[in-house]
Amino acid sequence: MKDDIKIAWRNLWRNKRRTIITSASIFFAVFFAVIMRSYQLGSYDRMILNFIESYSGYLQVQHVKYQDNPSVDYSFDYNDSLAVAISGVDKVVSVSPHIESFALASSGTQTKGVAVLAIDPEKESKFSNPENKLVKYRITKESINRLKQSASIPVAVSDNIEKILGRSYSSIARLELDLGFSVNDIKLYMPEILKSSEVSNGFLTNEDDGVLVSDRLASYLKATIGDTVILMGQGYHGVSAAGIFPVRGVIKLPSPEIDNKLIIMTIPTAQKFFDAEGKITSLSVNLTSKSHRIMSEAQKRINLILTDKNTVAKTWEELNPVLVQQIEGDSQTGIATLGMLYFIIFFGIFGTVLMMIAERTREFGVLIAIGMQKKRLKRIVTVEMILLGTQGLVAGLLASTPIILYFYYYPIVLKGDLGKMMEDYGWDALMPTAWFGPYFYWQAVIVSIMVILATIYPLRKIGKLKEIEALRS
Amino acid sequence: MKRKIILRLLLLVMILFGSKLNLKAQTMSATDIIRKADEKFNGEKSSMMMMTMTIIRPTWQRSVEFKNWSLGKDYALTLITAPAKDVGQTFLKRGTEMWNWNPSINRLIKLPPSMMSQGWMGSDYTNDDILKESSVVNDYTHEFNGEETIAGRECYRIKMTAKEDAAVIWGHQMRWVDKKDFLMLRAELFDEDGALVRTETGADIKTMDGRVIPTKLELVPSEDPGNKTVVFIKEIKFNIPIKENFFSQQNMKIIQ
Amino acid sequence: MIWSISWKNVWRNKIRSLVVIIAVTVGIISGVMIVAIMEGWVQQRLHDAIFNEVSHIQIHNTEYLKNEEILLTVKDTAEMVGAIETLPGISGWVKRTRMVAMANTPWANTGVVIYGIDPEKEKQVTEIYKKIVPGGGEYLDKGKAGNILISDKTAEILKLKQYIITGEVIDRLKAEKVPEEVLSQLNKLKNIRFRSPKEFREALKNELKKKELDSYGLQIIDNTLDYRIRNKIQITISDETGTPVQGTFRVCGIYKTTNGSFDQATAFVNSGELAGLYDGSTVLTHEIAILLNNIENADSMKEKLTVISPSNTVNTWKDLAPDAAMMNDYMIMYYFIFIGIVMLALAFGIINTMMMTILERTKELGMLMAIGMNRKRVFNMIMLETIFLTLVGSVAGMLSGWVLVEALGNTGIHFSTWGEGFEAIGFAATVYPVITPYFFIIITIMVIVTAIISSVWPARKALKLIPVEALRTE
Repeated sequence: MKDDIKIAWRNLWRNKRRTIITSASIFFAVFFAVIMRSYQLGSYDRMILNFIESYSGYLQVQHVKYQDNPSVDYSFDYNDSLAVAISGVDKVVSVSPHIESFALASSGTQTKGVAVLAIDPEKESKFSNPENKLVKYRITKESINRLKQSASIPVAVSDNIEKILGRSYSSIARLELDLGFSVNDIKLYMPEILKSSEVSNGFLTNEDDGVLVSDRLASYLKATIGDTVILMGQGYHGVSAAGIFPVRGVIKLPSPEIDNKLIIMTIPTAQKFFDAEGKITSLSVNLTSKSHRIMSEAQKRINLILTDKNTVAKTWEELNPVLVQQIEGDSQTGIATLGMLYFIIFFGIFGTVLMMIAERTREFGVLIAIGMQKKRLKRIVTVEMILLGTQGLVAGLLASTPIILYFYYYPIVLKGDLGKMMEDYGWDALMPTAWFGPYFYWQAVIVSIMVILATIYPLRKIGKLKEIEALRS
Repeated sequence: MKRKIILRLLLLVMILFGSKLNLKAQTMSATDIIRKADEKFNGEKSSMMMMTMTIIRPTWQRSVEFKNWSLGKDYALTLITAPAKDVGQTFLKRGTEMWNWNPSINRLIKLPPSMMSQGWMGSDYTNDDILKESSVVNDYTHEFNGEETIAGRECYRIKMTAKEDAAVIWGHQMRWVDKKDFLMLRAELFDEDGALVRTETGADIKTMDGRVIPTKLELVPSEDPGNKTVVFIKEIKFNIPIKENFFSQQNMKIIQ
Repeated sequence: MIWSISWKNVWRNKIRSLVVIIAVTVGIISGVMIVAIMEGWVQQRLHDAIFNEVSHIQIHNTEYLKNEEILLTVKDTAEMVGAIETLPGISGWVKRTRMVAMANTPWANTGVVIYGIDPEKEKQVTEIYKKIVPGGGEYLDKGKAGNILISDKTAEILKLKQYIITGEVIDRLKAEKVPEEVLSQLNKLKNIRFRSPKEFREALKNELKKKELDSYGLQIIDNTLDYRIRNKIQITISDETGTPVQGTFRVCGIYKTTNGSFDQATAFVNSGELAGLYDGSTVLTHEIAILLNNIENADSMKEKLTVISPSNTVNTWKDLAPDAAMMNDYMIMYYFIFIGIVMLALAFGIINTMMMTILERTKELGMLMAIGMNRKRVFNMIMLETIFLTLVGSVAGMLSGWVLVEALGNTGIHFSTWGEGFEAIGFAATVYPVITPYFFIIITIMVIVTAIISSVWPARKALKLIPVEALRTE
């Protein structure tokens, strides 16, 4: 057997060009397949991470009936010791309690339905981080007038700014993006623009009894910092909930749907308002990774800690089945694309194999004529094919590794409209690669299949070979 | 002789008339019965009631106490007297408008459509039920469906079928009206597919302020077994001297 | 002469030629298919967004967009209508009343947006009238009063989408060859009315084994489905004083678009009847929707209409359905990347094969050069061979690709497993591949260019052969 391998190896390198080209085809296929798939999976990962880290949490502890009936009536008892206990579970990064419900916000004779989200300000900074979304700059008529009167701002620039009249910003970067300034413009004009449109803002302290109001809601209610907002609704077990809350800050949310109806308050304040002392509606848990193994392990451990049998820890997949379906569907499309890629490559390889057989028919004839068993010849040719495949595979995997590594730690930053939209949602406009995973090793499987299929032809040809005809070719 | 004939004639006439009167009582239509029962409950010119409402759920229970003033069908003012968290709240109904005053936040709001389907104070009675825009008399056709005895009282059983254009979402209702006092002792509300959605019963019949009324009203929704709302009428005064200007937004804030 | 030699050469080595041709054909077909599928999706989303949801242009009172109050109707209607009727390029337009409302049935309630429309005129602008589900009644009719058109999603929420196994249902299932034992299990559930798909599925799970469910589940559910057409819905809206006003309507029909979120929130009634609820006489206009002859004119039309009234806001479909718009733009980039990769793969395949053939033909080529054919001519000959091969492959690829796209474009490709996920964001679970001639040509040109470029190296290789040495190889 060892001899066969030696012979096979030598055969390959006798015809350097052919060997290199064929291996190169496989190398190329593997390289591209791995990179493409890595990017695709990396993007999903990033999207999912953004979603679960800023909104859903990897796991959530809820009342068993809460998912079907999201109301304060299905809240559960909570105290710090539960948070501490869960934080102590292996692989848990952070824990954040929430109360989510609805109420009516009142202004004048108008009442508007709003979503109430209660958070622990300190814990939430590691989670959805609303402090990040506080409005810092607003382009108002006054600010534009001030700029127009300023000597250092040319008319063209102030006219440009007028186009975004009325918008609020929580980040300088976004403002710069909307203004479409060049690097030079930024240096020249931004400091003044920022000064004239600055808005004072504040956040919630841990025991605060005030609220944060989303930007559009704040303008509807005509409420700014220092004003009060009135909320009414139904609390725990139908008790009337009513309260007056001072506005501590205004936040801007990317989705207009949410931006016109969100109120954020601290958990103690919400518990008082809904008459649900000591209760919350969900506890979000962030883990180190979203691999299924780690999630289900953590889920099991947390479920053991939960003494209240009416509560349960659910994974983000269980809580968002529709999103899971969407990702699956998209992923399948990606796999189909790769399939086509490999299909094309396969033809290239097949072509080479055909050529190789045609070229070596005489050689085979000679070998058989001088006594080599057909079986052995077949074995040698098979080994050649396997070596070819392995070479290309290994080379492809090796070459793609540094790229995956690099872009995993330093992902491509998305620019333009797509980047804008992602930033708007509070997501990173990044395109990272995925870490090595099953998809990586699948390439080996596919290449093996291709090699096997491509080997069938040579083996059959050898089987049918008639030495005399071969010698004559 | 003449006197005897006249007397006989008078007697004959009396007997004839008498029996006609009797016949009339016996030929009250189903609609009439419902109308009478409705008037019994809603038709008093004015009233003041003190009630306790208990909301019962599989895992908890809650009671609310309140006073209710009403004038005809269009005006009502309710003051919550217990528990502590809800005390002082008032609700005002004027026609089809409903207002809510909450002293803890010093705020008066008009109930918007999105709140109409919500349970009043968390109960199984919706704000819509309380506004009671539909009429059991005018929005349905009525027919007798037999008789039944409830709590020792003989009742007519009447089937009420919603009229085509009526602004009601029920398909039909079954009502049990007691023969003696025309009290509605039981009502079953069905959807258009004939499924039972809700059952309302009246029990604990007592005499209050000279009237015979059921003092325990129970509402049971069929969908959630274990859920029900029970209202006890503790005290009731009829025909109190009250005028339309009593039912005002100002009064909501000061009523005790 | 080179041409004829090249041509003959091509057919001399059939296998080799066939391989290159097939590679090129497959390359084109795959490029075409993937692009066609994606384009099909994108086009479907765009079409549905425009023809079911947002039209090309919508006009609202600027204040209405911030706060949907009943009195914030479109301003300067006379001028707006005047302009719309005279401007060219408009294929249809409608006025609508738009009110946020609560919908009630004895079992459930939900918030919806009610549109008061003129059913006939709406047909000029939307395709909702084509989206009535089977067994789901009929579209709105101006002559028939008291009707409301709701979506399948709304019907489900309001518990008007019910399931009941009747004798008839069992007969139908029998005719569809559902086995007896399954039917006898179903008999246990006979005449029980289930008010939600979830309840029904739970009941089925209890009665049937998993295998039976997997094979017949969908069939059973389809046949048992009973939309409660003609049932009443109570609608509550706010009139101008904020007072709730109620009216009841009967469901006349159930529609379903590919966008679940849109469906859930949208219902239609005759505008006159809606007016009857809040006012009695005047039909209020909160929205004007316009369909253009050519989608490209949306922006210019927006400009023309904006100047007519400062109190109104004119939005194009890009403003109203930014996700569809973005996808349209963003997809092109994706296509090119994909095609680029396919071309590279193709290049490798071709280089591979051509290299083989050159090396195989060293003797022949050496002979040609020895008898006087200059290098340039040899080079051209080989290039021509490649071009011929590629052309044949391209033609085959274009034809089969086109046929495939046409066929699948008619029948559609079904993605039922993830149907729900897709429909939540507005994608159909069935996609109809489509490809514009523009792309077709681009792909084909790219393939040809790739093929040519990838033969340069082998061809040059051939030239480096020294005739004498070439003749010496065996």
